[in-house]
Amino acid sequence: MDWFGGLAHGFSVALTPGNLLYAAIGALLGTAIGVLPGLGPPATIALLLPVTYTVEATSAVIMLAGIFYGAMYGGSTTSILLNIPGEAASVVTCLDGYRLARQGRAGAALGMSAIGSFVAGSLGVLGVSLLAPPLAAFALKFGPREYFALILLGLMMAVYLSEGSALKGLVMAVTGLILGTVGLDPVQGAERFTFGLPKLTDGLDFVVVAMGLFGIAEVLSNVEAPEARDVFRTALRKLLPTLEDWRRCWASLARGSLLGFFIGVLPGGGAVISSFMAYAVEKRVSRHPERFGHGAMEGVAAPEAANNAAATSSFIPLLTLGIPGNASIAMIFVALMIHGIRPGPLLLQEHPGLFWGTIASMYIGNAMLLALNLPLIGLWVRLLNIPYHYLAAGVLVFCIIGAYSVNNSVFDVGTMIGFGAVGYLLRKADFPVAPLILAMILGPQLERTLQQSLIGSGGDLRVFVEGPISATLLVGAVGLAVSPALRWIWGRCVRPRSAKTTA
Amino acid sequence: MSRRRDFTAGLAFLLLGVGVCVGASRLGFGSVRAPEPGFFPWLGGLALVGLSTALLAQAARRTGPATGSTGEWARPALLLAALVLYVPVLEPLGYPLATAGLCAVALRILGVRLPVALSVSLGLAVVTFILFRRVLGVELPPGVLALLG
Repeated sequence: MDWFGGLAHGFSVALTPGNLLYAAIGALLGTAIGVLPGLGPPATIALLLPVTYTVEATSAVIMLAGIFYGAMYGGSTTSILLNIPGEAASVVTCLDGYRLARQGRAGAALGMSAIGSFVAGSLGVLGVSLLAPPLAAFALKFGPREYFALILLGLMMAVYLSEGSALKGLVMAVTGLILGTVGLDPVQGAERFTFGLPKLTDGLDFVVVAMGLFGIAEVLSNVEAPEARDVFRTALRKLLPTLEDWRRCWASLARGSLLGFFIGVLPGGGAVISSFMAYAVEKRVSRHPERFGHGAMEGVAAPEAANNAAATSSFIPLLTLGIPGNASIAMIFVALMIHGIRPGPLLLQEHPGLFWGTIASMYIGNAMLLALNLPLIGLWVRLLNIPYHYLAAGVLVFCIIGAYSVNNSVFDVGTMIGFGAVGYLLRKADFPVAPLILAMILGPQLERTLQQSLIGSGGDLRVFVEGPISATLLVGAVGLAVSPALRWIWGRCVRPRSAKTTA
Repeated sequence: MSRRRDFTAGLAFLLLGVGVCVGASRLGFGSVRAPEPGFFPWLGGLALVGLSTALLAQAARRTGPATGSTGEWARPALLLAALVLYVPVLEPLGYPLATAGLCAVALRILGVRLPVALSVSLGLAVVTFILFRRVLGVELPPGVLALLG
């Protein structure tokens, strides 16, 4: 199927009334959780995974994808009006967005953010539809050693690009790999770390672990200090930015979209990093960098475009290589696995309806979000009047039902609560959770490809560096793994010495 | 970020790494030519031991306050205790009663007045019980409700 034929097939799938409804539910839900601080897209997707058991796989992915990119639209609303980012990818939008609101330009900032998100999201979808098929075809050439090297590089990038200390990120990734070994060994079928519990024979359930780490841990963190909300009351007239705004921002939108798209494709890259980078780039290229932080419209346009483009393009590694690049995409990976679908290069051949249907639904979803967001901004702001305690109670109930319904087992509820406590402590100690969940999901595949490569080569470790693709990927992975140590050596030994010499 | 917190975390991960290495060696390491079930976890355990040692060294070297802001621990600790207690009572008491109790505790912790907390919790538990059982076919444990028929 050629590109055009594929996309036409995708639209025929996405435009069925059922899938349109799921795209709308996803987009609305995504906007709502994007608006509400304290509940991020990975937690929401994890909470809704059990709901998708009874839904057809394509519809489930269409809805979950809608939540992910919908949250990017919603997140900017609270950043601009409250100076509180609804989710992490909109943190940087606070800097200029809130200033603009204070200057009485909240409507224009919200309008620019929504239209910028739409432009970037649409460009992102176009990029995905053009890039994904050739990449999937290329990935078909991958054998176990290439996959081993690719997964390792993906994990290293997730660690390197995660917030905070790279050492802590590495600790999380290795812990995730170890958690992924619980259950039956993939090659010989021996029981590992099950402690004689039959419930652990099939391994730890991703849904249960994710609900604990994202849902329960988020509630525990939020009850610590319930936030005070002070919505900046302003007249939300003039939602369309002025001609002067457009003249200033069109290049920022283009740069943000492009940058976001490429960062989103990287495993570990995503909406959060791309928004920060887009802001930094805009400030650097601007002729008046002093305006940034004081209400520069470009400071809203570029990061909002970047986070939407990145959210869209982060589907590329999932759909073509089977590698989830961030926590939200990892949850969509789990949803596919629940439906017995293995994401990867064969997805396009085996499930063209799902592949193209998801891409087409993103076009439609972006249009829906634009149509929903601008007229409904008043309603979204009113959503913030819901006190957090009711939201917390709702999340607890959904987590419990979700965990119980996986296997109709109280054991899973207990496991989820255990992981919730662990997740809360990890947050308190500034450990990033995303590398753990990614490593846990990818761990079994990493182990299988490692063993296959070693057995196939008769134990010859050179097998990994003999192939050009695996060698290149491994060099990247090792480079990223040792970079914190190199930075430390540089900081301890080289820099003080050169400072002394200059002194 | 505090030194003590990093030190405690480093120690916990070191213990986990050692435990994984011991468990993996019992499963059998095999060889590079023919890896056995303990091969991969052993490598993971070893990596965790190395990384947590680096974390401990980093925490020991860092100057600054031994403790960071502890924040408000009481509320999360209370909620966690309620959650832990919820697990053994879920099946005997049943979803509606146990969940109503848990939500009431959670809402009280968050400062909601008792009558409001009780009524909202009971409503939430009963509505979700009926909704998920009837509409989505999720069989949540009825507990004492089963005795009532």
